[in-house]
Amino acid sequence: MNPLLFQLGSLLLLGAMGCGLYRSLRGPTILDRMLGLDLVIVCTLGITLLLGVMWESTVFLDWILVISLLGFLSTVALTLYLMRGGEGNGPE
Amino acid sequence: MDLSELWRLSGCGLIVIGLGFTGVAALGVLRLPDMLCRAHAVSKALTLGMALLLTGSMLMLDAADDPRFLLAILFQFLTIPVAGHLVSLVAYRKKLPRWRNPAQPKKG
Repeated sequence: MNPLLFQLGSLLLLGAMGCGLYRSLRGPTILDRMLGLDLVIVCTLGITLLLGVMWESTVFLDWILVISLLGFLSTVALTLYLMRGGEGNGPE
Repeated sequence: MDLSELWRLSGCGLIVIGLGFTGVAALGVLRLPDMLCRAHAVSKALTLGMALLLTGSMLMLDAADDPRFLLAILFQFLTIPVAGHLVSLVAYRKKLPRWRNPAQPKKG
């Protein structure tokens, strides 16, 4: 893989991760923070993919499956908790 | 031109397009005014970007016979939109204030 493409792509994904972190620090509601952390997780997956393409290996695929499953489960758990009430911790 | 060279080139192009879609999703999360708009940006653009990135790396690694790639692509299509939907559902149930275009008068 072209190393220039790898560097530019990693920089772009790092910028996307920074956007997600900014939203999760700044976001007015707790749902905004959840969205920002979702974006951070997916950008981590993207950087892992680029690393795997550069190193010409497919070992990283298990890690990608596990991390996307973990992010999805955490989002679902927090959403169900918020929907069931959680008044004091509700979206405010 | 060799066939594997063609695969590598098309994988490179798919990776670039996927990176562009991911950048659009990040821009939407950063700049859009409302929570529902941000959920829209994440659940659509990010899904397409990750699916294109996975397809491009599958082509570049020449690993189309690896079932884990297909599983990962299916997983992205299953999980990211469902998470976005759940978050939007909570926002709808809790009646979060929505953004309206201040240039247009309110209807009804």
